[in-house]
Amino acid sequence: MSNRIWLSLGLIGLIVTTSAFATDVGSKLDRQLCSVCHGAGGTTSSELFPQLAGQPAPYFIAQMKAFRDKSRSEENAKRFMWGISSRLTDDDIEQLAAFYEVQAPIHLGKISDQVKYAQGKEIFTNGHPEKGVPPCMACHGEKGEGKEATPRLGGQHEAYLKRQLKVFYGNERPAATTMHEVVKGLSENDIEAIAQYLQAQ
Amino acid sequence: MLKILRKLFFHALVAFALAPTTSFAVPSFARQTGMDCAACHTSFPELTPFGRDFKLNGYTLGERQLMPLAAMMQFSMTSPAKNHDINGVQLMARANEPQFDVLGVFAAGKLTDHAGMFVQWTYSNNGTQNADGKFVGHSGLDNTDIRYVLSHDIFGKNTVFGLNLNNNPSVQDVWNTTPAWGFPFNGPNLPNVPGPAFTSSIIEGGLSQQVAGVGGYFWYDRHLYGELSLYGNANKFFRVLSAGQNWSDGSITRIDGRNNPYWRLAWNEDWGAHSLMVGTYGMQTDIFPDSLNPNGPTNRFTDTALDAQYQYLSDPHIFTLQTTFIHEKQDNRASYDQTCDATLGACLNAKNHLNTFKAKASYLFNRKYGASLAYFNTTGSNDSVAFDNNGINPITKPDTQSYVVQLDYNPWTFARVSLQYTGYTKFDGSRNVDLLGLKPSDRNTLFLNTWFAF
Repeated sequence: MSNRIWLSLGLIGLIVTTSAFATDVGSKLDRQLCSVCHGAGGTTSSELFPQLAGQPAPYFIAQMKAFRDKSRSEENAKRFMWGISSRLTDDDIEQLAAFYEVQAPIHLGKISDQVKYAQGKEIFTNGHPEKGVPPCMACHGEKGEGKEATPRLGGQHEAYLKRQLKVFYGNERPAATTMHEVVKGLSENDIEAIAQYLQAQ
Repeated sequence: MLKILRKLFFHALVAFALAPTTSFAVPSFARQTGMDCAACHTSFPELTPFGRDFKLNGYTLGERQLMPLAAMMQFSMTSPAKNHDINGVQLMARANEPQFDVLGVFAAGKLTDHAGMFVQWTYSNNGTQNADGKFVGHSGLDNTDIRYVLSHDIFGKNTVFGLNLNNNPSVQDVWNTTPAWGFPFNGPNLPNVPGPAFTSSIIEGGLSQQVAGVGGYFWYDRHLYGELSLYGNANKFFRVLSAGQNWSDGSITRIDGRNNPYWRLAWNEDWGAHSLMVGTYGMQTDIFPDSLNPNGPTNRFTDTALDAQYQYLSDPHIFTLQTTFIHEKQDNRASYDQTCDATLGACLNAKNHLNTFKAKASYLFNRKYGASLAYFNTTGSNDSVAFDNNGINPITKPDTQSYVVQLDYNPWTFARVSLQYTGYTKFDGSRNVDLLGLKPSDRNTLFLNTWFAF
């Protein structure tokens, strides 16, 4: 009998201590909600959903608020993020942003097309001056690590990068005014090359 | 009074149909969460990992709706390969005629931050046969699943603990391998002229809307799911869960007590675009031999099943695979007659078994165009009483083998048009022409169907 009491007390103690370690709102929301699609800690190998780990907090906050006020409206934003973001307060969003900013990004991408990779690298580092395309790294950083309101692109899924670059052809991300100008000088082939380069960073 | 109610109901329906809404299947969930059906379903009712999480968290994500209502309708036309047996008896009434099949009304959504429900009321246009042999509409409570959940961190991992009340074993499950939400999701439901239907194990819908189950479950770190529920007939206090069922014509399976166990254990792994589940489930049911006299000794049916599901979820390709194997032990401890003389007539075996295998693969392109292929095989003991196949052939085994080929077109995520072909290669124990002059393939059907949810 006393054995059982000790065992129960031990179990209760374990539950209390383990949950005491995990009181941070950002990591809790990550585990309970975001990780279903984006993977634990914001790293996923599903190309349907972007990597969030290492994403600069100001960019993350701006996007979440754009989902919440429905100004960012590409198909998957509507399908998934409009609903999810409607449940989050400003404070939740900030806590999540702080959490994901410090998570270590993963680098799953492998080079599958050397020619495209080289083309992508060229555009990323030098742009297309004749078409008015600036070097991507001017804003997104030398390795596409992102900064402030500019997203991390290095290690992002190829399919996601392609999808988003094409979204900028339209007006479903109206806040991204710079990108709307930039993609005017990018062909579909350029987009594929950039995505091939960045996913392997 | 009834007239007024009918009129009100009709107006409510029209209002529903005309309401400017952009929502989906089960649409009240979409309205509650603000998400598209595509977040939770590949092609309804099949669930995505997010859909599974939503259900196991008690349908509580999102904003509580004042009226969490939704509806669905199905229209169809069924064409059987042959519609008359050798004696000229019709096999299916209303074949090759357009049918309004089903109207379903859902009350589905969040109740509190910790509770939610999925309740379906279904009107079936060809539901029952009246005294003159005419087929008439019938309505009743359909699948019902009410939950209370708490979420807690165990060893630093998110764990959901839930309590569940339902009226159909496996309706609470979140993988589309178990019977209640398994393929095919719908099929020909023309009024069958009473006669042979193939045998299935008790867990495959044999108790649906006839029982009440209360159980508890845990969902650890989106990896491990465990559940134990106890079932009894949905009578007395629980009678509402069988509303619409006829308790006096012997159609209800009467089971003993409220402690017939249903169990479930599943391991789930989601990585990247892939989602895999391997699991087991089962049920032990004590059944009264005479459903109109639920007293005295019972026969014990024990169903033990293995199941597995794989999903590849991407854009624009989605591929899903489900399979299950159910082994049923039928211990006829109450009905078995030791003194029965097989030389004088048919005798029931003391013990029988029934094995069911199902496998289905689906491909979905752009969430618009789908194709599914399924295979079903049932085999079992030789028993001239339990599996007499209504005497349509001299073989007294329950063996049936069939396949389904289905093409889907989903113009929107809340609507579907599908063409489903069901073929039989073995029916009620035989691959040959039976005493009704029908070979298995004569029972094949082509089923054209539309399905809306709004």
